[in-house]
Amino acid sequence: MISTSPLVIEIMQDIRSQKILYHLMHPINYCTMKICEGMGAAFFRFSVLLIWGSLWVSFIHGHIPFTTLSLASSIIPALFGIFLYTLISIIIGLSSFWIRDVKTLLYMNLTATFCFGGLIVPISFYPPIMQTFCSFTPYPWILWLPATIFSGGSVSIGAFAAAIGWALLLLYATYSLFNLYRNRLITEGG
Amino acid sequence: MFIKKALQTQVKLNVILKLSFLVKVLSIFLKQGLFLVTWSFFFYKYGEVDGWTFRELIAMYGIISFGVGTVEMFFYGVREIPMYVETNQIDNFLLQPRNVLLNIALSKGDVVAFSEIVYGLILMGLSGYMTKGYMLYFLLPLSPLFIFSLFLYLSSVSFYMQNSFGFVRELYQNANIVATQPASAYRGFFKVITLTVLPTAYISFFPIESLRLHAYKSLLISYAGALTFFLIACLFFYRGLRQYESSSTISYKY
Repeated sequence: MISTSPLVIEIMQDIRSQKILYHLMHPINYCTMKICEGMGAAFFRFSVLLIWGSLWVSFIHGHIPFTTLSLASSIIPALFGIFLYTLISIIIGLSSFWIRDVKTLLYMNLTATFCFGGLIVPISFYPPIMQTFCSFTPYPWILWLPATIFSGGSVSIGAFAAAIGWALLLLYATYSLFNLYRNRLITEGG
Repeated sequence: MFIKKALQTQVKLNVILKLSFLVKVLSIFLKQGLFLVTWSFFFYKYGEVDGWTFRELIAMYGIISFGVGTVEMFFYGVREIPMYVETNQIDNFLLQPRNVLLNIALSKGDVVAFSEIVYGLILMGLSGYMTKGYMLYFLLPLSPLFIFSLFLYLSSVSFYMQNSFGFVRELYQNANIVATQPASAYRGFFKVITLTVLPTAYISFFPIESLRLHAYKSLLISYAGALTFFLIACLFFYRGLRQYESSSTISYKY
């Protein structure tokens, strides 16, 4: 799910080389374009890696670790997770206007996704205070939520509400940051 | 003289943007801290993984951080090879009467990576192995050598595949994941992979075994593996360089 196109690097290079100016003239919002581009690439990768990953797991454990029902019901949360991750990537990419080199932020985001999303160590192993802290970040909704549904576990309705809440917040942050960038942009004296 | 000038330029380039510098340093500390905090929960629950405790994990992170920091500080150019290939910037290096690999490696440096070196040393100190014998000191030169080879090996893939910038980036991430897990847990097929295709065992498994068991044999295997890997990575790079073609496309440097 976190195998997305190099959105952060692309946006950083667009901003650095001022190629973004060509996009600003297009009749489509740059952020919307990047969201669609990122989602499209990520969904393709997700589909391929789902098959590949399942084959690997069945090779190791001797059985495919999901049912048709759990697979079907985890598709929407997985897409939502990809959406959240794409938005975070765009925010990091846009911040290169102020910070210039955001590669370390990109890797920090990846690490945070691994740690707070429960990829390295399951979140249930964390102490309660850390679990609460994780739930206040967007990362469990990127990885933990779809993974739990995929493996047949149950999640509360509050988890979905939190995911939707984060999506709205990140959407707002993305477009606000882009507008701020557009207002601050001065090129060739104009 | 060339190396000195290249490094001086990199220091000036990195420090000139203060906010960027500060964010980078903070990100590095946060990134590494997060990994360790997460693993501490695991070891708190299970105690050890095949003889490896949290102490060994800290030592492993310390060694890898030290290596990554040293290479990124002085030879960040090796990580940029996919970008150079994609934007035809290799031409700029081929035209100069210097060693191509060294020239590319020194073309970029990341002064912020100094914090990663410091972090690595702190972790090695916390692991307790710094004061327990001198084995750890033997491992210090090994770490940058291996990490340099790893970056070169993975970056050279871009010579053989078109538009592989994203793919190589994913390879880095996956290599990082494989290298920073408790390597003692790898068995069978995965162990073969960490000894051959992605030989991270020479930076994680063998060095830590040499520390843990005070085994010189593991230390020798680490060095032999890292040196062989370095030679293979160089061969892979030069073979790939022969396939490089830019059709004399005009390129510009970022």
